[in-house]
Amino acid sequence: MTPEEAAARAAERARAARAAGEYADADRLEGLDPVEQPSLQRLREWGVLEVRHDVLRSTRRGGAPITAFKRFLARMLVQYHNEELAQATRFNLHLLAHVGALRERVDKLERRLRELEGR
Amino acid sequence: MRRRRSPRVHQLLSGAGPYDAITTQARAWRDLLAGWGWAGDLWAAARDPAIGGAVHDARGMARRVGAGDVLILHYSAHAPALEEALELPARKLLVYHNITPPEYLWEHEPHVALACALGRERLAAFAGRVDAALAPTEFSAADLRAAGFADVDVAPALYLIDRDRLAARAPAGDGAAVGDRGPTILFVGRLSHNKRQDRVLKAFALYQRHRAPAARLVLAGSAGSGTYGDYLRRLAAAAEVRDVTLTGPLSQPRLNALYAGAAAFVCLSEHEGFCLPVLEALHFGLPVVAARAGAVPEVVGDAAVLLDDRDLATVAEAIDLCVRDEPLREELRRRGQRRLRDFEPQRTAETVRAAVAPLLD
Repeated sequence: MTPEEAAARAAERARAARAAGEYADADRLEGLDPVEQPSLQRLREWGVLEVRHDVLRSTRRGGAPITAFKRFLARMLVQYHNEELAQATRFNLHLLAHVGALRERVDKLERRLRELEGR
Repeated sequence: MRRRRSPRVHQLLSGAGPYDAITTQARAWRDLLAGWGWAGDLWAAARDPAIGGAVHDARGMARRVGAGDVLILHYSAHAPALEEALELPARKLLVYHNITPPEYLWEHEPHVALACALGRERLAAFAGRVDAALAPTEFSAADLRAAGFADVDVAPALYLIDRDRLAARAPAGDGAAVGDRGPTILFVGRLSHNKRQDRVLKAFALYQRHRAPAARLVLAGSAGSGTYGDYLRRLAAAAEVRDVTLTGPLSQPRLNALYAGAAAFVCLSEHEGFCLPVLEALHFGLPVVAARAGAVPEVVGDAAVLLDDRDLATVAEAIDLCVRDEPLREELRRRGQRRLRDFEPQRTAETVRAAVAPLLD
């Protein structure tokens, strides 16, 4: 069998199997989409940034002294990092407040639309 | 007056990392170029620290690139350094590795999506400002032409299939080897929505449930910085599929062990600028089932079972044929070896030389 024949044969076999009651689960699988949209409250929690020294590390082999040095530097720069993070956090929270207000307006408009459609 | 040395050929990448395919190719090109007396350095706008001194920070590049030099711009995402490099006095060759359409990426990797959106948008700024443009496939060349590039060379052998690299094997018992219970179905590529590992997983779920209960799926590749890997884990649970492994980044010997032990390679990518793993699968004699999409049909030629049908049951049946039908496997192996001859290292060397030499004359 050539690859071209195999492509055609696969489609035929799938059709025949479906006709025989196999692959009944194919449509369910096709429709599976387990997207997890974080709630606005969750986004607010993520929006508040904090310094995490535990994620600071060296990627080099035998990099333990470099890791220690980087963490020392981060502690020395904590005032600067706090200023920067405060700015980014302010932006995140303002943006999320804006999103929250927009969502409320959309909800209100959708409710009003449903009322009008129901008349 | 200071006399100049022979011209140097530098390369600038938007990003570089130890397991990144473009970085690997740029390093191979550097070795080829050095062999012809055109040594040069690799520079990147964003560097994975693990790459060490092999690739330099692009901020130091301007001091090292002179008027008689050639600068190869590897274009695969937006990086301001690439555009700034247009001002350098060297002659420039743009190599377009393609950019994933951002709509695939907004949900799971929004920051990568932004770099891709900007990269596609800013491509037009390079048209007419580089001395030559090169793409590995007609699929990618079409993007360049749409962005306003008048002359685009297409050279499929742009990428080096390094046989020595593929010959290295992981030591036994390091966890890379595949099991011998049932067939292992493999896909190799960064976890990214355009590669549609979710569809591979769904098709595999049908194959495992209806044709090979002991089969195993291995999705090899870096998880990147996005959430698509988590999505795939949730999908595997919802699909009630067993024996699915997301390996994360692998060293080449471990990856080679997976290729060597797998029964079939399944690629359902909707967008690929090239897809080197398909050629690596051919090297290992693996039968390939692929969706006819992106540059994959151009790259693989007639050496794969190419599916136009998006039906998951058809994919499951194609996998089953490729695993069980020995004459089909043999035919695919024969065609695969023939296809690989188009990517012999000598061809890559000729391609690189033909692209660079006119810029040095």
